Amino acid sequence: MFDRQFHLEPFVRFEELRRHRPVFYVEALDAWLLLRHDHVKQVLQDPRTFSSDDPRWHTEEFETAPTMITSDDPTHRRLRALAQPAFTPRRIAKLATAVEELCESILDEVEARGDRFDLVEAFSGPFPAIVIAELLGVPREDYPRFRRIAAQAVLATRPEPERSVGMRAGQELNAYYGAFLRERRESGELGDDLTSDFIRAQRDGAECSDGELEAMGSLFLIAGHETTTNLINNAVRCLDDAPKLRAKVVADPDCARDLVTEVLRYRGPVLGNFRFTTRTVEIGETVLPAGSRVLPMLMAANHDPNEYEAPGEFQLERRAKGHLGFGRGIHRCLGEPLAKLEAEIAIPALYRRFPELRVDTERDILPVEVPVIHGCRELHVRV
Amino acid sequence: MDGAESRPEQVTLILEGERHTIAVPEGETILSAALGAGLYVESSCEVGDCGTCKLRRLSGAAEQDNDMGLTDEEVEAGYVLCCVGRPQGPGLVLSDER
Repeated sequence: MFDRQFHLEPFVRFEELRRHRPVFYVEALDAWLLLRHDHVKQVLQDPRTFSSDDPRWHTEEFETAPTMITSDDPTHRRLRALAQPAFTPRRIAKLATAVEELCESILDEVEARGDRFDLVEAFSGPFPAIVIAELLGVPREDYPRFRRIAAQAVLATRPEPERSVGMRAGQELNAYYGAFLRERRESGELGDDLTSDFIRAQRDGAECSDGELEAMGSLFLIAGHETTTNLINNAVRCLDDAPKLRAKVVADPDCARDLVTEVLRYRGPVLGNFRFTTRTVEIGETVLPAGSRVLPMLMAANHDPNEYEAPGEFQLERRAKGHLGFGRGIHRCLGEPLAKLEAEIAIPALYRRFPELRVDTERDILPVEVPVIHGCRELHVRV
Repeated sequence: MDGAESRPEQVTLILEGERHTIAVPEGETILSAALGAGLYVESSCEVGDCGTCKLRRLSGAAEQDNDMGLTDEEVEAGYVLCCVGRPQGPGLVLSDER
């Protein structure tokens, strides 16, 4: 089921499955896909029954410290609390000017590339990667390296043999960030960045091991850009067939918020996240025993006609209530304010700079082919 | 001992279009009272930092210990973070309609 065509347009297949088999077992993933909005919500709202601590992440070969997305409370809460203060909506709002300046400086470089380029390589990849690098305090010039490793690390959500490749890349990223963390700690040069916050918190007695901090930094290096990169890519795909919307985005930057909300509903960058049942549980008419793996598909839920009228239409002013693009409940995306800020800045800026930007139909879109992400490895455009 | 002060305040929550009235005892947050009453209010960090549990205030007054989870515009628009929010007097109505 998870072939290239699926990854390009997942909702086409979701639509048919939701109608006939809304709780659908996929052997290759050893997981039940959930496709209805109410089922997905049921899972996300009940973290006790649907654990994030999947035994799949604890193999002897690839044992790593837990992160906030691979643990339940109280570990999840303890780890999230270390990073949460840096991601409050108010603190993130203060980054707007710096993020705008960075965006414009990258677009200056993009302009020099001529009239055809890969948007992922030129813009949607580097922009959020540099933002997260600066937030963490890691050298900005390292971004091609951690982008490469991060792209491999997400393969851990695929079946073997890619899973081991992904797990190994995850360890490589932990080692990269771990080395940086140690260097900062030993140098004693702490600044106004998240890594310094971690070191100070640990020094002040916060309960967190070095391994947990390494895994957290590594998680940010992946989650901090992979999703936003694809939010931008997906917005470009949504706008490609809508010339009036493109014109509106250029003329009225205030519509960026509505645009990003609808992209998150219609073509959000996160397909879903695995959960593991801790007891026997009914989902619709299906009874799942304890120890079952489920994959609630956020994008399928966001296209559920029981929840949204004409879900297959991209409607700028829909302002979808209850969309699950950032998840829901205790694991709701920590980076939501940052992702929104970046996307609301990047998308209008991109079309202001290149009003004629279109997807290059002479080149294939190469999708990210993992079961938890909807996005592009390559998205060639013409300007 | 002033009985009136310790009396729980009635707070109305409009969640997914349905009105619910709950009693919030003194010293308890709106979120914990709502969860205690069997309602689901989406929340995450539960210390007022993430903004997940924000609800829009339609009437009445509320106080909150921390509002880092709200932007300045949201504070202006009367949003309340339920995880750290408490009613200030009767008549508080909060809605998840954003």
